[in-house]
Amino acid sequence: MNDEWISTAIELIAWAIIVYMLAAALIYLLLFLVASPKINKEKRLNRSEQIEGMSINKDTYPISVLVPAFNEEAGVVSTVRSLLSLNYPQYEVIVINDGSTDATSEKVMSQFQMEPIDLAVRTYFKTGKISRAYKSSVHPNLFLIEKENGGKADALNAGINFSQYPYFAAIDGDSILEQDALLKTMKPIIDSAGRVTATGGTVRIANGCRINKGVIEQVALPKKPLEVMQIIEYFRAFLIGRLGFSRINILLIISGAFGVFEKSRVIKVGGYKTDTVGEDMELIVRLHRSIKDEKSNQRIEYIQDPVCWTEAPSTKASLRAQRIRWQRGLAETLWTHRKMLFNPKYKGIGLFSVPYYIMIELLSAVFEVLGYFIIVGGLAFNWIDPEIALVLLLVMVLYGSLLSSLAVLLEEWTYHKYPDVKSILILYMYALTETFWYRVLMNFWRVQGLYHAFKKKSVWGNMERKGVFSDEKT
Amino acid sequence: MLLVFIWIVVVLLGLQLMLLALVITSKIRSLRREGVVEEQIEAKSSHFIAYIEGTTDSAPELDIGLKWRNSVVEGILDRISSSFEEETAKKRLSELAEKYLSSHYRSTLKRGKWADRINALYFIEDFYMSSLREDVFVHFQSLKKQDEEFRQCLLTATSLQESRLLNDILENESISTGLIKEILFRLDDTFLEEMMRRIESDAVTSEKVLFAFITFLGEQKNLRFYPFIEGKLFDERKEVRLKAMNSLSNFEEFSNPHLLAPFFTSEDWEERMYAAKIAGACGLTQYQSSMVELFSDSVWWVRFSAADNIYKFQEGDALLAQVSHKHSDDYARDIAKHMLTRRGGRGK
Repeated sequence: MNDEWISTAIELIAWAIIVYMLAAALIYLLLFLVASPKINKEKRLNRSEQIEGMSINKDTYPISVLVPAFNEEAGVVSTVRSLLSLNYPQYEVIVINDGSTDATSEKVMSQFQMEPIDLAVRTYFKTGKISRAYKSSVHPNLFLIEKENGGKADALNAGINFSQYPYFAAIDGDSILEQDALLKTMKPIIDSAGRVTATGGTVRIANGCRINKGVIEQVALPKKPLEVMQIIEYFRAFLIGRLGFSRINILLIISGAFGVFEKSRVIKVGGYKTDTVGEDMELIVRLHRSIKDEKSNQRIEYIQDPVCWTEAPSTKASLRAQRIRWQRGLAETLWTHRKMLFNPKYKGIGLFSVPYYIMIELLSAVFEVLGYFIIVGGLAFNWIDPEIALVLLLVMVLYGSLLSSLAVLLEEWTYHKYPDVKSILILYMYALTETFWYRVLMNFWRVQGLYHAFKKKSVWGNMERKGVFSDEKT
Repeated sequence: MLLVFIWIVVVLLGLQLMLLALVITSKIRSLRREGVVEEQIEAKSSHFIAYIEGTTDSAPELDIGLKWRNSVVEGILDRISSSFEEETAKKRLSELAEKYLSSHYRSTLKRGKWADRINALYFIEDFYMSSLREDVFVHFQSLKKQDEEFRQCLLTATSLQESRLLNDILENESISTGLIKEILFRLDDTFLEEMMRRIESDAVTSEKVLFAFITFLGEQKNLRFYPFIEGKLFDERKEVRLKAMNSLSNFEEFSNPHLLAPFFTSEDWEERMYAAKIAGACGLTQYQSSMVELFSDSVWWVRFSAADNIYKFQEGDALLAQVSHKHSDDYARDIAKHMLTRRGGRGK
């Protein structure tokens, strides 16, 4: 009797997970349907012609590009070099060395001939103490700030204090931008005469690509399956999810790897929050909140063009640390802004985005991990009808592998960044395997991330940078 | 139940595999097409360049099928168009574009998809294809939405000096200041004078147009309109005065320096800031002491502007050094020191 009761309970949970995953897959497809008309309409548009006039247009607002760097000796020089060759009329690059213990600073200093300068900056936010500032004698728009370690958010706040232009771009020290990235990302801001207050673009993974002097010369796939799977994961996140959210102005994330912000709006909301590991998402949510509180007509937009290339973790340990951190950041942000949940004052954000991020992005890992136990238990120990266990497995294949393989097809349909047929076939085949190994790993790490968020435990881990940008042809 | 789900997964996978086959086939085709077009561009570019430079008078002939021709010509002209500045060369480039591409762009404007129509508009402008002026105008009139196509159509039409759009530009309140400036950038002086005449006679009520006009003239340093902007320095509307000051600072010369004096003590900090900017940009050294006074202004932007612009004077370094050592105000010393080091001292 007792066994029967347990079995019924497990079966009910299994069905709940099945319904949940089907609903989540449906939401993904709906988001895709919301985004696809725009993708389809714009995919043949000549992007370089579109931004041609911008580089000489005086209305192209100047930008401060902020590069927070903590132990980025492997990639920081390439990142800076790629930033210095950007096609943009007026900008400054500010590298903020956040108390690195490696040679990050020395690399920048020697490569770009930095000379000390005195500081007289507006202090919008309190930050860790800035010890020195430098300016390059060969590139008058390159600056380096040395500050005591305070985390990425603190470094960005210090960069905002130091910056002199009305817009700023935040870019990770392990990322590089395409030459026209700033023009493309600023276009919605300029076209809307400032109504767009923040923009982000699609981020792609650079592992495997051939890079020369900070410029992607040839897009190619990496060898390691773990890295290939992250490429597919980024397709899925950027091509299926974010465009749909952006279309209806309820996007909650602009990748920390690259985003552009109106400085005055960020100052108004208090800058980056320093006591969370999810500072990028938290800032966007706070910006949305302030826009809605003010009943302003400003919006946050995402452009579909791939504009930023980033180095993905290449070992299990570093990927684990990253995912735990991301999940913890997500949980902290949603907890901080819990009052927005189902609050009609925040319209689509409160009624759809926040619930979506809680139910799908935050908790799906819990449901999926529970599903794994039920499948294994069902098939190995007969806890439930094996047929239900197999249905659950099929739904997981549908939600994991088939959605990801669809994202691979979408990438080829839209941007076809990978230059040969072989790469597409490899990506597609890898996507089909996702449910059986990669997703399992991710879900376990994400559940650990939730646990860390609950326990308020920090795991930054070690990114173990290969420095994909430093393996350059000279 | 299991069977249903198996079928769902199998059908979806089957559909995806079909899509994959389609995607792969299309990729193979497009790679082949790109290869052929690139090869032709490489082979024919020198013929086009020779004709445009005038080293030969026979227009290049293309012995390739219509399927590739448009892409090849478009590719060649797009790559070389920015390298020619001389009027005769530009005219020859337009001739070639007219010869090979006008009928293609005409039919694209009528029947093409949204993105293709916009691409055609980009190139009609780039290659200055004046034979398509009427087609662009007709197309503009058919547009209902103010999107990228509307924007580009307006720009292409004005670059072809389509006069019938002037009223649309002046009366359409929803066109942004930035777009108006882009339009003005494409118009010749005859149109600009007509616009000034309408503004002066109060026929133009849109402030956006006025702001764009004032700003644009400064950015272009168009001396013919200098008195018009100078006249706006004492407009009763603060925003107009500020736009005029900003515009004047771009000219880097100021015909009546005494007009600037009251702005150094204006109640509006923006006017004090722009006064410093004009003095620096136009080298009005008689205002050195007024600028030094602004180093201890209560507003950071004014202090910054004063320091930033005093640096432009020949004795700027020395003045900044003096302020950084001797000024009684902490803020003034800080900003002077910062400006000296951030900009770097100049060797004399």
